[in-house]
Amino acid sequence: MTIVLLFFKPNPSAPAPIYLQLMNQVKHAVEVGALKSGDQLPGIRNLAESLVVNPNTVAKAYRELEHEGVIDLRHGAGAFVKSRSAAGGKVLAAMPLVTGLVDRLKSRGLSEDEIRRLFEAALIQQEETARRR
Amino acid sequence: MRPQELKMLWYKYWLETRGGFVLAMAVLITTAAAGVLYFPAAVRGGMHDLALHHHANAAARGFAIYVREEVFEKLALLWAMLSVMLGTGGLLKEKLLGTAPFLLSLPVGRRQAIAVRCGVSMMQCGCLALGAYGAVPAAALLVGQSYGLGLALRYAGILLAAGVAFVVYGILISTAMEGTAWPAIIGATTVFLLLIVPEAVKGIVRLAPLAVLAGESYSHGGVMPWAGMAISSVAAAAMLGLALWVVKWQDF
Amino acid sequence: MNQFAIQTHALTKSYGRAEAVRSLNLEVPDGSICGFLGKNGAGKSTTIKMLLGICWPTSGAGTVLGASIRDARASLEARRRIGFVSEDKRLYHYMSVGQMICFTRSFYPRWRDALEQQLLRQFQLPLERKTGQLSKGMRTKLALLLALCRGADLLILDEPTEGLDPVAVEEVLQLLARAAADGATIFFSSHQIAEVEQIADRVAIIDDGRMLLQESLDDLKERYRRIQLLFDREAPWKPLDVRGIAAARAEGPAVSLLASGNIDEIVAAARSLDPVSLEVAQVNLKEIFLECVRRN
Repeated sequence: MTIVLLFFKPNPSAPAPIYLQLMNQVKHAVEVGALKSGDQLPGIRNLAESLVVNPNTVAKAYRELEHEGVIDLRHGAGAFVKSRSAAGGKVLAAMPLVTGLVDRLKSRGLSEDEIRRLFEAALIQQEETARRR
Repeated sequence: MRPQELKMLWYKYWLETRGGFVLAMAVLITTAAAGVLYFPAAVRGGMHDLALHHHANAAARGFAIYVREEVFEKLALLWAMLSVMLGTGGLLKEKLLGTAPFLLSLPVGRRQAIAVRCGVSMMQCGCLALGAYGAVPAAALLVGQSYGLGLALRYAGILLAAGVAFVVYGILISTAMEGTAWPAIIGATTVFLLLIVPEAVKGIVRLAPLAVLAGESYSHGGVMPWAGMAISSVAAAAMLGLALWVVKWQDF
Repeated sequence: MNQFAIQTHALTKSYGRAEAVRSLNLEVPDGSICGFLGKNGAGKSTTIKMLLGICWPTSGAGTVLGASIRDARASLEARRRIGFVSEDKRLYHYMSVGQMICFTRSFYPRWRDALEQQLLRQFQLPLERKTGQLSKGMRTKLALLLALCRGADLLILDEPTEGLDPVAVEEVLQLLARAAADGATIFFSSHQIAEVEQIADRVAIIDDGRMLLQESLDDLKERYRRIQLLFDREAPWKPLDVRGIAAARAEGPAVSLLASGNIDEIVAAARSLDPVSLEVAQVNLKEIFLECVRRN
């Protein structure tokens, strides 16, 4: 199965690099179970053309996904989702934790937007801290 | 340069200049025909015509002399001016029109482009000379005279050989001067002056260029104007060399 | 094989006293799509013309596909492998679309007939129409066809989407993506930051003839951050003497910093000012471009 529709057009003007946006789309599809182990991802050329992005960017996203153990790049054959990685399970398992936290924040009167910003700020801050080390 | 590249470059310059070429041909043929058709009038009482004053007995001097002095000299002057105009319009004009970057992005050298442009121009000017002089024998039949085609073409050959410098002069002007119309106007004007001024002071200048172009020496005892033809060829080669050198260093 | 499809060193072009391009060091790696950004008159077209041998550099050097741009013969050979769209997209007004294609094709043995047919259909170009009678958009499309069908290893495109509607722009970007997938290197100038962001993996920003920055777009986005500081009082703003601050502005209780790297030190320095809130946000190319050009 190589469904290009799994991907939506990345937003080039978003601050996040396009390859990261593509990686997140794949990871999301794997996490929710839309992509299963052994599923084939679209070819680089095909995907680049249909999303109208740079083929090098797609290649980079695939390389990084392989590096993170989400997919397998088989030379000449294409990109395949890896046998269900621990990553997917971990994410699903953490879901109740996040749901609980969101509920608590809402009960304090925070809007969804505020909560989203808080999460993002916290993540970025951690990222910066990690970078410092 | 591969043959089909050369062919297409030739084709491009032909398309670019064919309008001017056809127009020039029409002007020259009309002039040739009109000149010949005027012959009977000149014979009947051309005395009223100031232009014919200095040879009162046009009829007596014969049709051949009339053709050389009255028709060929006008044609030679016109041909020289039109040749310069046809030769103008090279890379600088293309720069002005905005097409120079396209041409120069192709695997075409600037000097190749100029050389082909010059070749097309020479070919056209050759055709113009043949067409104009060739029209004379045809028009002669209409006024009950005859003029040998071979003789007319021999005079055309002299014009071409002695006038090649004018063709290249057009190329040189448009290499040095930016503009769409100005190079042609200035070229034609300088040629007109160059040919007419010595004519006006004839007697002082022994070798009048217009007389050389029109084959005066050939009509006087069949002498080819070797000196004039040699000077013209050398000047043409020098001007072409200069144009090729100039174009090498230009920005487009 | 050269590592860079295009590489210049201290490339300079002056017209009289005016310097159009100043000591430009441009590097376009093989296989990349590099967007060339700059205001009008920043020197983009002059640079491109020098790369193609249409203008001579005043000083400096450069190679395109390994050929020195100062060597007329080598440059001519290199042009056999280069597709080009010029800034004003003018073509021979006396030639029809068909003649124009026939003319251009004769110079390129690797001409791609199938692509030519596809683009003629896709762009709905009328074969018989004289190019002088084409609209600006149509002329741009024809110029693109003439560049893309050359089967070139390097495409140098001067504002290839100028005058096109958004649908056509998307089509053109798709064609560029395909050309890149086929292995072509693409160097294109544009005013449209969004399209550069969409298709390029590298950007070069030029202003007033000078190269302000050139690097991978991903690196750029990962390097740059906007840092927003809020205070419960008038912002106690004094210029932070920390490397990496590209721009700083203060207004009332707010301070906004654009950092081009060294984020941690800048954040630490900012914290010492004791703000009530400190946010670090990613930025897009438009912000970076505007800031760079404004600063210059």
